[in-house]
Amino acid sequence: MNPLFWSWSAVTIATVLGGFLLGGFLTGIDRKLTARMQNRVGPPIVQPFFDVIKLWGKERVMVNPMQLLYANTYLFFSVASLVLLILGWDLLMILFISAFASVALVLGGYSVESPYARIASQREIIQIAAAEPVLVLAMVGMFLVTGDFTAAAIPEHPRPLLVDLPLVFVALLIAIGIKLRKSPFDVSTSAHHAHQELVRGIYTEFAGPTLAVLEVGHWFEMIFFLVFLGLFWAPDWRIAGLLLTSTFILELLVDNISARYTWSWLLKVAWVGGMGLAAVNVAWLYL
Amino acid sequence: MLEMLGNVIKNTLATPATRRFPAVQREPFPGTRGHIRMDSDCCIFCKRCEIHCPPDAIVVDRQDRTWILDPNRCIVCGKCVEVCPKDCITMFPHHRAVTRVRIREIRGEDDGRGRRLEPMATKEE
Amino acid sequence: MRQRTVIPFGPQHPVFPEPLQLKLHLEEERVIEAIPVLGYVHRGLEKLAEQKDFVQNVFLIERLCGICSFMHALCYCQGIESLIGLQVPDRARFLRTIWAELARLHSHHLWLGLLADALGFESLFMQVFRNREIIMDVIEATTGGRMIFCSCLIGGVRRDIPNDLLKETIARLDQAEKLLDQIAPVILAEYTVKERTANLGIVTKEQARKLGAVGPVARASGIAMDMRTLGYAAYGDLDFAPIVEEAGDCYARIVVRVKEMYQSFDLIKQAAKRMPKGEHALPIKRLLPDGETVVRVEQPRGELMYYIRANGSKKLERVRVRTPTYANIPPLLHMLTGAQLANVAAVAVLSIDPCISCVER
Ligand code: SF4
Ligand code: SF4
Repeated sequence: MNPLFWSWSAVTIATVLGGFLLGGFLTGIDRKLTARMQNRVGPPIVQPFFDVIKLWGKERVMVNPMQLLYANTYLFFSVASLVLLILGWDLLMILFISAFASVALVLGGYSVESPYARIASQREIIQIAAAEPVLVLAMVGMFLVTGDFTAAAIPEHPRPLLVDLPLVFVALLIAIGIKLRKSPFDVSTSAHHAHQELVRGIYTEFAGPTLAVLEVGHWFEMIFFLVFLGLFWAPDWRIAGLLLTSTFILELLVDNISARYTWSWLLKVAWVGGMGLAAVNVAWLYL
Repeated sequence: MLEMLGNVIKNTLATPATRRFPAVQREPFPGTRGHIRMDSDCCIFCKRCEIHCPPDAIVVDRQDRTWILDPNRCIVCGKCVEVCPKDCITMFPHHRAVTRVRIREIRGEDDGRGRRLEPMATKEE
Repeated sequence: MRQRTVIPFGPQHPVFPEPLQLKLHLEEERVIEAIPVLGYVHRGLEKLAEQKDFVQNVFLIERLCGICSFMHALCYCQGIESLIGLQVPDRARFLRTIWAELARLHSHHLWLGLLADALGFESLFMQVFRNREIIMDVIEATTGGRMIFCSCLIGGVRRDIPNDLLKETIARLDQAEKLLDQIAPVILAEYTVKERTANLGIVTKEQARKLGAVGPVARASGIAMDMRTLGYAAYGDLDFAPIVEEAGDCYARIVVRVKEMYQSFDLIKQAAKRMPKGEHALPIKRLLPDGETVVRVEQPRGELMYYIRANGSKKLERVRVRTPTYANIPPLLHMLTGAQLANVAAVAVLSIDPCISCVER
């Protein structure tokens, strides 16, 4: 065994543990802050952990065995994309892997008979279609700036990416709003509170431990995208942290001051707004 | 969107409007219809409360000198409080916890305090 | 042929506090046909009302519905009073008006909260419910119950609101009105809300007439129909005019209801100002109802109608209830046809403010 293997294993374990704890706490903070914005007391910060533990302790009920497979796939790829990002691998591949996670979720939604889950799966595909191109464009932009597709190259770049890619950053805020399932972009999963149209969207037919797996998977997804945003000020992690905190609060704020939209509106915003901004930025780099 | 922004900011700075419920509880208003209690010492077993009670929650037996209330049936309307000629039934503002226990009031028997709780199931026997 | 999906919308669905089922036939996400399935909470209350005596019935009738319980009691009491030829004291009339408007306020708040929630606007939902809590407190302080007032009685009202409590009530309502001032512009002008409700589920004036719409649904389509103009309780002594909008879409229905909330605040204040002195209830000793009558009141959701037939004994022969939601179901089906699924819950169903437990009794 070479030392590289050991250091990678150590990073992996640290990421998995750290991602789990951070993801849970962030969700807790999310819920607490949301509550305060709505003039409520709100749950304790550790409530998401309680929730997951409670779900884990429930009887395992599944509509079909495939559900478990898809849920675990979702978790696995969410974790994998975060680990690879921390390890500084190729960004395009990481994006591909994180898209895998979303696809597993969609398949999970499709694997059951419930019309709510099915329609929600369709919408999730639209969400993927809305968010992924923006992410790809962002990566192209990063490549143009650093001349390298690996995540490891970014911190070594002398200037923060934000200076060169300000519009891409704005476009990413939209994409990440979609990925974090925040209002007004949350049309498919109803992960947070948009439960009125589709009950709980893709999650409708998941229960107990399987749902816990999805929940934890979402934490990792969230951390993944936040770290990805953090790359924009990679050389200095303190400023990156500040940037992330303000982004997070901004997403919460927008979540609290807007209603949910329809998917056609979502596509319009993501493609025209998000891709437009990112494309302009990228084109400008070419010139 | 911006209309809501001011509200959200105000809320974040204000103290929450909700309370940590089981730990912190609001006192009911003085006139709240919470639950009723009968004082068996003054009851004359006239059956007026039984006749007027809309959901038939009260059963009064003159012979046995018992007055039985089924809290599950009682809708806490307060009609019995109004009609009792001796004013032995009182309305209290606090809500009683949900119970499967019937409340039986017996005069002159029991442990001297004239009050005994018994489970619903044994009532049939 | 395009694939059709049938979504069983309800009976248990987060958008419904109560069990109504709509079988939605979908093509893609468009509703082709909506078939209502009623009867999940039928409790036989009309039959039970024939078993109890007519005074006890007030308590039973109040429990027909949780949200507009006072209106049911009011309507029933007015019917019996007209049968036994009783004129309720003035103070009772004004107190009834105040409670009726409080009931309308808390009902409209509930509806507004549910609408916000259906639009995925959680924070607005919370604000509305915070506001509603103030009104519930007022109701609890004045009647002793939060949902079931138990304050209407044949011949008057069961308890008086003493003048100091009345003053306190008005102060609290002022506070609630101020909070509503914060929320109302959000609902009326917010881009996302408007985008999702304007030009949806249109019911024109003719359609509204033909389909038999009542209440805010009819008023939003330009029909000035408000039973309060009949002048029952103290409405004849107060100044108000039915609130009418012309557009007939979901947004117009929102506007009507929001304006009605302000109107309710205003009516309560007027009633409190002109509150006459005197007793609040008359005894009905040995008076028994005879004959038949039809009574109508304006519920938060529209026209509520009672038909009562009595035969001079303690028990009534027939009590028939026609609730506003029942009348509004045909317009609802009309709105649903052609709607997008995303708009079904939020826009169409909630814009009639369904109240199923009184439809099915
Ligand atoms: S409060 Fe009403 S329901 Fe309860 S026992 Fe008295 S009369 Fe019956
Ligand atoms: S009305 Fe009063 S006195 Fe008569 S039986 Fe009931 S509690 Fe006793």
